[in-house]
Amino acid sequence: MSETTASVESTIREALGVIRPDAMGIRGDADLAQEADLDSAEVMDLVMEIEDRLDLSIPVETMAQARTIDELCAGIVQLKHGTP
Amino acid sequence: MNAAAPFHASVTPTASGIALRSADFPTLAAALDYAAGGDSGFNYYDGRGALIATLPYSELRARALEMSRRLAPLGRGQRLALVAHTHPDFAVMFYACQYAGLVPVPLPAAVHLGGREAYIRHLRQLVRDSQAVAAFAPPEFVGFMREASEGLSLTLVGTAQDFAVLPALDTTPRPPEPSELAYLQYTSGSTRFPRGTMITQSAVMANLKAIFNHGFQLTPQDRFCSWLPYYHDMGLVGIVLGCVATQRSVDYLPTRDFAMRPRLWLKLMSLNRSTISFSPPFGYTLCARRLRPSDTEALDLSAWRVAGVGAEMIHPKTLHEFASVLASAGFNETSFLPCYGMAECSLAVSFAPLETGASSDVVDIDRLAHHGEAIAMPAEETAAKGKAFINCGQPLPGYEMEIRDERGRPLPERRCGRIHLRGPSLMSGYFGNPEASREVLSADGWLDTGDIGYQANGSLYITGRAKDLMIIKGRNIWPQDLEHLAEQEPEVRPTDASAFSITDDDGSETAVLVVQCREADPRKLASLAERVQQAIHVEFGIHCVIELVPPHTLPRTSSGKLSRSTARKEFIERRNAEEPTESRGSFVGHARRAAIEAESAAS
Repeated sequence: MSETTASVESTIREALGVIRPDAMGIRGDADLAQEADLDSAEVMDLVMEIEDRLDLSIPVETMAQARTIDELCAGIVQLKHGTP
Repeated sequence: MNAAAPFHASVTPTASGIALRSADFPTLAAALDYAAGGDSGFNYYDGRGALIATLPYSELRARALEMSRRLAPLGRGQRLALVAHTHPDFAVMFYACQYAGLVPVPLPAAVHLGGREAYIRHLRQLVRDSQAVAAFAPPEFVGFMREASEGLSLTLVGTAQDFAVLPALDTTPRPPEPSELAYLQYTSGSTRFPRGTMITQSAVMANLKAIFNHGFQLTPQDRFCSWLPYYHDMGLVGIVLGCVATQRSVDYLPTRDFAMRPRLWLKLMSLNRSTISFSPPFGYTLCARRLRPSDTEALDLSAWRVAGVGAEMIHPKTLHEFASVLASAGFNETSFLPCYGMAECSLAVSFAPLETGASSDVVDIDRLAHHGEAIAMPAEETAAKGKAFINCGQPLPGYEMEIRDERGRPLPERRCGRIHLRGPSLMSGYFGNPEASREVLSADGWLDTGDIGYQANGSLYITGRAKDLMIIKGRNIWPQDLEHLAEQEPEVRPTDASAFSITDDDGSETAVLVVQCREADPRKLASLAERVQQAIHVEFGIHCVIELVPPHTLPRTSSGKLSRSTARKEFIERRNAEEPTESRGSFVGHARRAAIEAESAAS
């Protein structure tokens, strides 16, 4: 499980790097859109990059609950393993 | 569509197979009754470009009629809230309300990253404002809706499946009269003070009839493609209701998937040889930016004959960029069809002439700014003082337009003023809000649109807005909502914040919030700016420039009210006076700025 978490997190950072190369290293508990300075169109761009890399689609509910990289990561890991 | 059954169908055909009628029906239900006799309908694509559902109008009618017998007991004229996600079930529920004599209330289906609470709050407020008796949401959104309606006395909150088990009447309900309400449309309203426009059957039908007979006439080869949200007037009235009323097939891409993969829009247009699609200017910009040369090679957009553009200020440059990028794919710049409208008028007020593309009028910007005169600049004039405004065409037949000065007196051509409108498709008022209705709707039937513009040769040119509304990346934002968020912070007192937007050289708007506070500690100031920015981001998904200023900086009118227009003017003056070292999205003013930025960088 922790291995999955680590790989999902690195995928999220990789995707973020495509949109904001200098934001790849932001803290896991920092407000993602705020810290990486993403507007709503760029957020959608980020979601697409993540979806394409992980070959899954991220439901609105998962997006709506994730403010940080850590939360987004947890949400995606939960998707991959089925809801607890 | 049955979710359990494997899905093999192909798209609904462009040719419906029946004699085409151009929206000449007394009610929305009568329009669907007729469309159901043909083969055309709605097609739903997912974010990968795969066809996931089709809903021919015959099936839409059958399902809506069946559902209407279950909805009718909720009470004629009662409101039913519908989360307007791009989904076949929304269409079924909307038309079921039509047959049952209920008033559907489409609600937004858009959530920002981490925006769960804000979205739920917003839904709850709209459900309350509309006094809905029940609420529908498609599966992806039903969790939000259930939470939003907790503690409210709704008969039922659920998906179409949940509504399908309500007890059914034995008979089909009496169809609606033209004088009955067709729907409530929440529009461009502040999130704190929502305004639901009440639109009758006869109003929406009058507008559709004018649009499809005078705005742009349809041909038997026409096919629509749309990613516009179902909860905006252009997407709901223009596309969903308009295509049923004209028996045309539509290929839908959910708005969220368009935002993620804008190129899919063009792929679908190319694939299905669609001829008509509408978008606000930012949709064209988003597409043009993401396109790669390999994309354009694979596209054939030569069938696209009406590329409608509206819903926000149109800048000639935006359209021209899109057209140049896609010229090699067969896109013709003359397909652009600028239009002007608002939900208070059901949808459309005017359309530019067809097949000429977007034409503009270049006027002397100084004369316009200081005297409100829109004086055309001669072509040979080279002084860089001209500004181009887009020709939005003449009002549709049956509609009167007046440009009025501050005292309400009509102005002649080429004089700027508030645009007033009278015609057969105006709203009856804002639901449950007679005061707000009276503010914009006069006893003799004139609507104050709150937009500023001028007429030349009978054509309308929009130059701005009298109301404080900001439009950021296609989203309507009211300054009072941003100010309210700032005032939630302990350091900020009521009336200590002023919001407005500034326009960049390329015409795009940026939101600015000037906040005055007594705090002097740079660390605390940085924290305040960050909290406000975060709150705005979560609620609205936009960047907002925050400027913190000392007390008594914000300008007030003689009656003590904050003046947003003066605050804006002073902000621009301050910004021009200081050498701006603006980091994107966070501009903190005055001498404290350097210290605050250093703090933020260190944290």
